[in-house]
Amino acid sequence: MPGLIATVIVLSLILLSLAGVFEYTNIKLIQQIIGDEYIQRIIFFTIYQSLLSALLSIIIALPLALSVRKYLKYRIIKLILSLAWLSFVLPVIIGVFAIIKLHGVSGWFSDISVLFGYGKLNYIYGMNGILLAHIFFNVPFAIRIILFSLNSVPAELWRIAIQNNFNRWNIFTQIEWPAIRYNLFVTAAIIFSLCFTSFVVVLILGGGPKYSIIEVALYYALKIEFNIDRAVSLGIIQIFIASCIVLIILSFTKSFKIEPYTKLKLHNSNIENKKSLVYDFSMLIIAILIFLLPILALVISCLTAFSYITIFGNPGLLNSIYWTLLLGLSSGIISIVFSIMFLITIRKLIITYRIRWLANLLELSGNLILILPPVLLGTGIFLSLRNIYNIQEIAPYIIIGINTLTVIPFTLRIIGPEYLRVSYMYDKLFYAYNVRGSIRLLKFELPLLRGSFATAFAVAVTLSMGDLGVISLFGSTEIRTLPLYIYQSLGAYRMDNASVGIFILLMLVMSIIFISEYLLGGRDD
Amino acid sequence: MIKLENISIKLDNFRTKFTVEINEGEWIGIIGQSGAGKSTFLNLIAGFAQPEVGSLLINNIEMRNLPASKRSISSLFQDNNLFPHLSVYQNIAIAIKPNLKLHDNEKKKIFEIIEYLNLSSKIHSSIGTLSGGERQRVALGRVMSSDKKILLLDEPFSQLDPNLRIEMLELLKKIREKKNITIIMAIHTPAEAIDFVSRFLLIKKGEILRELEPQDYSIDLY
Repeated sequence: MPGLIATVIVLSLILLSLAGVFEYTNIKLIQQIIGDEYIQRIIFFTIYQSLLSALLSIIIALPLALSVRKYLKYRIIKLILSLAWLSFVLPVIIGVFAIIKLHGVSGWFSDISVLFGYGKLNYIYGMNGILLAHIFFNVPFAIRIILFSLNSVPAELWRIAIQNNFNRWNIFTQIEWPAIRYNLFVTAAIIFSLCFTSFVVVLILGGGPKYSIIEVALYYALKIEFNIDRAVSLGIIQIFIASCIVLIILSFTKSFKIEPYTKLKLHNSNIENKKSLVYDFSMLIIAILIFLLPILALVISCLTAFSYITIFGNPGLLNSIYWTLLLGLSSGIISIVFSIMFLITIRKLIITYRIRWLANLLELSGNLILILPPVLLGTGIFLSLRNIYNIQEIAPYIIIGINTLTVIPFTLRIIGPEYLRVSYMYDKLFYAYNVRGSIRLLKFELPLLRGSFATAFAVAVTLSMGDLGVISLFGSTEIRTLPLYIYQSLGAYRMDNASVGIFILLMLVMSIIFISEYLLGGRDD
Repeated sequence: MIKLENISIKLDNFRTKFTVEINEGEWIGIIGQSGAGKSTFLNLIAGFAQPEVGSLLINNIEMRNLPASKRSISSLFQDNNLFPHLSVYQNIAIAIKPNLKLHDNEKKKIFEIIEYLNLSSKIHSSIGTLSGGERQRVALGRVMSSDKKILLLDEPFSQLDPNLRIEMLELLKKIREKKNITIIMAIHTPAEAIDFVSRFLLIKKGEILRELEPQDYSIDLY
């Protein structure tokens, strides 16, 4: 029953959005979509940059991961990996800001160029910036997956390789590649889909309509040009292509699991010779250039720009902090409640009634949002409600609703498997002692699943706090979160304001992660 | 000849101190309780564990600083002896050339080994389709093709049923006679090996407690 209520609410919001989009759809418009050169160019660029980003991320991640594997026993390497992993978890706008501080017209590299008399460097906006950012965000993810795939290679095979004099190429072809090839394909597909809907990166680093993906073009059409026909056309295309991608990814990622680095126990073989040290050292330099320099630029920029006067003398910033916390925490809490509602019913369907197909259908309704990116969902809801309500008045509720829907697939994935495992273990015991309802949830399941709930909460809140797409559509001078504040500051060339905003957002996100994982989740590693 | 002199390495609860001489062509059974140091003994000889002190001589050459890849030693483990993405033929061929590009005479040698091991019908089968006994035979095939003179076995047949274990020991005996190799085998069912080994080494807390003739083995030794 709780799952049914959650499904009805989720589907109602999605249907409301779809109704808004399809209200404006007709045969003529679809013909227009197919023939419109601008739209064709946008589609081509969206797919092209996603493919290129995925390919480059994998090409860079593979040699890096193979080198890193040998040095994982060193704490400094694990620390670097964890720092790099942060770039995948933190709000995208923070990473984009770090890239700008390093590669931007006033960035470190540009300053060095001026120092040597070559003038300012202006390569960050457009395809270069998009690719740089996507590599920065996705290579750590790919490295993580590759390392975990290598983790599955038994120690015995490394020893056989040593005794049979395998050279570097033999090790790669006979041990490493067979272990990683499947996950590498899945990882590439996931990176492709992330880049396909990479709204924040393309909005800030695309530098205008020439380098635009479907979602950003949709935003421009609605927010700047107010061309509803074009927005709807792009929306339909987005739904169609995203559905295909999600179907492909979901069918390949059933056993896809990401573990923390502390669980990595890679077998360290003394198989390498001294020549490989030079190679590994050059890989380390590449890793530092890609990950550590932007993070360093970010930290230094935050520290130098930070001053109390800017915070307390800036009501806009205080207002942004308030809305970031309010909207982020609300979405986080509601998404956890919805996930529990889904999972209670899914558990009953699987364990008690043994109707797995219905459970899968219910889970699918929670994941349906994956084919409707937040900006598109927002566009549809805007089109549906604009003649009924004053959108500005109900904007906070819409933002919370959309962000909740956006993070539910993640929270379901984090809590779901653990919840079902606990249910399988204790279900009979609960029935035997008639432990039911809220007692079962609060007294038994919550303590048993504390870690998963804490991680899900951290992910849900940080994702919601980092949203820029939905807040750009529905935000205003009164309702503005930190990402929007930062984006507007960047647009107005107020780098100091942006730096302070980034610093505060970073602190908020880190606090949420710390409070969730260590205090709520009881993690001690 | 293999000669270990006070070879020592620190383990979790104790420090090993192995001293023993093993003659060329001998078949040694290593026995002892779990955690006694049987696998460590084999790892020290193979070069997978680095001793802190002591000496390891093979044919009067000091091996301590020689990496595992340079020692003329093959190993057979309890499990995971085969590359799952390769066929039976490829898993055996990999010991001759890891890139699997063999000359005609090398291919002929592999075919002979496969026939000797009675695996001809499975030559192109993938590893996943083989039974436990067949897998260990393929692993023995790889050892045969490598032409190395010392074979270390770490409880290699313990996952097979008793009849199959005896069958594998028989096969190992034939291989040993044919190729004149020295075998050092950790085993947890010593009674089955009595008819095969030259002697047993009883290991306890990282030291060789006793050397036994096969017929002196009894169940209350530990």
